[in-house]
Amino acid sequence: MDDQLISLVLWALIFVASFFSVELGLSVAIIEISLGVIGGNFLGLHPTPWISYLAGFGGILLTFLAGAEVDTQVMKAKLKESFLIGAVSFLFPFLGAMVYAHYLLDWSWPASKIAGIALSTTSLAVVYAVLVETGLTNTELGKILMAATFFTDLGTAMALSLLFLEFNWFTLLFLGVSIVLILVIPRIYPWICRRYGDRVIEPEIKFLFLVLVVIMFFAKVGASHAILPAFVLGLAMSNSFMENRKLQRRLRVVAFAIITPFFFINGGMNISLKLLLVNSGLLVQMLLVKQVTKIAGVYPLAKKYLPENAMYTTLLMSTGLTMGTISSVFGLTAGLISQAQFSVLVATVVLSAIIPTFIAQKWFEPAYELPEMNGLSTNSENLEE
Amino acid sequence: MFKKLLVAYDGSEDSKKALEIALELSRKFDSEVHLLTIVEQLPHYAATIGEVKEALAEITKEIEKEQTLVCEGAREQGVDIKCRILPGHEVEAIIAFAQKGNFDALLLGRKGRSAILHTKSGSTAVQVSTHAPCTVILAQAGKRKE
Repeated sequence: MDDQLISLVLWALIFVASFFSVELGLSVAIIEISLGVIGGNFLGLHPTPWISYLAGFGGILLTFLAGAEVDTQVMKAKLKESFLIGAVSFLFPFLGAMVYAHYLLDWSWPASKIAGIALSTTSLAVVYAVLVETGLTNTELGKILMAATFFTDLGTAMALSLLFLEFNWFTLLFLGVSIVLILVIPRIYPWICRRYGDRVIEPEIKFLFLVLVVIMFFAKVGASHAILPAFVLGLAMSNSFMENRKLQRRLRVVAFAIITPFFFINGGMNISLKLLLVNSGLLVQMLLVKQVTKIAGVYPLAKKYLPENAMYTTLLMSTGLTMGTISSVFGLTAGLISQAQFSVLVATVVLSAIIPTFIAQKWFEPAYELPEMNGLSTNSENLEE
Repeated sequence: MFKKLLVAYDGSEDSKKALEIALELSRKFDSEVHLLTIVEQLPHYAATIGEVKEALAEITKEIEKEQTLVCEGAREQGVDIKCRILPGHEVEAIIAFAQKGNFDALLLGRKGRSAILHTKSGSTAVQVSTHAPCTVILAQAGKRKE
């Protein structure tokens, strides 16, 4: 299939994904991954250098957004509990899945590390949507869950950047450039937005993309991965990002319309249904390893800090999607895992977004909490009045 | 008897009928009318928080537009409506709101809009009427052949 035809089919799939997302009330990411699977297995789509580039950039942009969308006030409010739950939520599945993959499945160490990282993740977006639906975002439970997810994500980003580091002198350059950018960009960015923002040519978004590409470039030169500095940069910019509603929306529009679809479709395209079918037993094992290790790590702490909702907390901390997919894509691109291993890992990650959420909502969901008046009403007044 | 009414409104024909009945009751009994719409189509299993937040903001904006029109229409008929939008599971959110608001009656359409492909579903009405803490009036727009 030539490039023009691939482009045509891809854009058709990207459009169809957005259509189904609206009609079915499902995340566009899940549908893009699914359509990527169809494209790769039945329509003859295959990764090309330009798709891989866009997908790689999409992954870094998603990581940046994951950092930028962290509410640091919420994080500070319940720091100790969130840190502990988030840390074990990363460590237990990371170590458990890595050891299981290496010693029981005979995967190489690099592949086992990727398995550990991909299965250690928790999806902040999945957790957030569930909390909104139950009115729990502003409760103690909601705040601890969201902040804990941040610490799990941080663990994933650190592991992916540090475990595969092949140190050379350029690594120090990458480290230096990253630190300078993380310190400088959040300070000068508000000025750039004031001076150049609110224009249809979007200089402030292009500048942000340039910064991310600079990080990717030096990560490549330094034989590391851009995920950690991108995540930390996002976090450093989260306050100004939260305050600038227009920028948030524009960045999301550009990201979701043009860039991230390539990341998710590319992820799906690399999944081989045939290999997945052959390794279906492995898929079940990986899913169980993730759930068992998450329960072993998170449940005791959740029981201590959130006794009434310990299993609900544990199940929501077991969800994963974006960071797990990013880790798996990195493993495949770097040649650390095979297509079969990639297919199993991404399928496990996607199922881990769906199954624990379903169980949590079906059997462990706390009673609906009526949110405080939060600007969601037109001529709203307090009920008690 | 009908001093405080809650209308669960989703823009369907049946819920419009429920509103119509509430306005009539209000004129008759001088009732206070509250209108509640639930945001129930948030994307599940999203990749970023942004996707959920944007969807919430977009749907809320649409609902606000519709509620504003409803309020204006009611005001023309001499009834002042208090509107509220809540995200969440429709049955649980309606019940929680009805419980907290101490309403005398809850009015809703027999069949409303479902999240999936905007088809019609009667399950919400059944569940709400089972668990509601007050009198429930199920409205139906016109005669329906089952």
